[in-house]
Amino acid sequence: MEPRSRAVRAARRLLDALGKNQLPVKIHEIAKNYAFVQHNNLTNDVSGMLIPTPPESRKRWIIVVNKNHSHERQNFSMAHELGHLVLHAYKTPHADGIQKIRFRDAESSLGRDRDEIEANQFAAELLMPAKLLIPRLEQLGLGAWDGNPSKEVGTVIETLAMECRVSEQALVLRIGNLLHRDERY
Amino acid sequence: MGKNRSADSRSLSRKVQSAFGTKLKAARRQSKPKVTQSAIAEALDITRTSISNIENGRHRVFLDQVYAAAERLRVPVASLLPDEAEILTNVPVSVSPTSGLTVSETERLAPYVEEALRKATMMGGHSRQKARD
Repeated sequence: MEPRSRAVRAARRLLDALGKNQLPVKIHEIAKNYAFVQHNNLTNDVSGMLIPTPPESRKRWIIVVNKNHSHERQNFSMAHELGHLVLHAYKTPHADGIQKIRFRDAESSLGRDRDEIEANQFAAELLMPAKLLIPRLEQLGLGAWDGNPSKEVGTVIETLAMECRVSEQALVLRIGNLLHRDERY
Repeated sequence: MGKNRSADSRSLSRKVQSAFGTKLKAARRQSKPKVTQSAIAEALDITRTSISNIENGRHRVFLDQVYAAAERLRVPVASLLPDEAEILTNVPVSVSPTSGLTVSETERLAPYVEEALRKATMMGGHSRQKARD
């Protein structure tokens, strides 16, 4: 089934085109095809930036991630910026800070906020593709979770987060969104 | 065009000329039916050699010529103009509303943008090896 979100569709097209069907998805290898990738010293509240380059440059974009953040977070930031590149192609530099988790409301469906949701959806699908994540969840016994918190759940999350090279928080959010009807496909 | 222009002004001029030339050439190549250099030259009332020089960034153009070229190519004038981000160094940094960053902080972010651009220029001079980690 075609996913409704154009961000998810874009991420899947990219994964398919590159023939990526194994975890972890190596985001650096993907991103560097589209942009100069830099790990720079940024202030702690900035996680990443997408910067268009001058016309004479060999690549059209620069993706910067904050090298002081954890590798997992840098991976997600890189995928998030790649999402902006693919989906929004800003003509001026764009900076992203610490994402506040918030529920969707009328406000969040407008303008740049929508862009951020799309970049996050793109990043989540790219690093934790549904077609790879769901079978792994089932293999690890989380396919039909009864909702009771247990030690096992924690272990599975830890294992899978390591496999995907993302933070546990990112993975938990991802699983939550996958279970949510409109992001499953 | 005076000879006492500052280095900054000459550099800006070169950037604009070169970017405009690239846009013009691209628009001409994409035009259907194809608009030749001679056809543009005729519309601008200059020689074909001048068009070639403009496309290669060697000649400056007048604003009316930009309009005449756009009309002949049947494209919006704006589509021939280089984006400000390509030309200007101090462009505003956009920030995501959920990021906790505010627009007034773009000044604080500018040095990071400059650093990244500087590094990219260095990376651009090298082989792809440099971009690998």
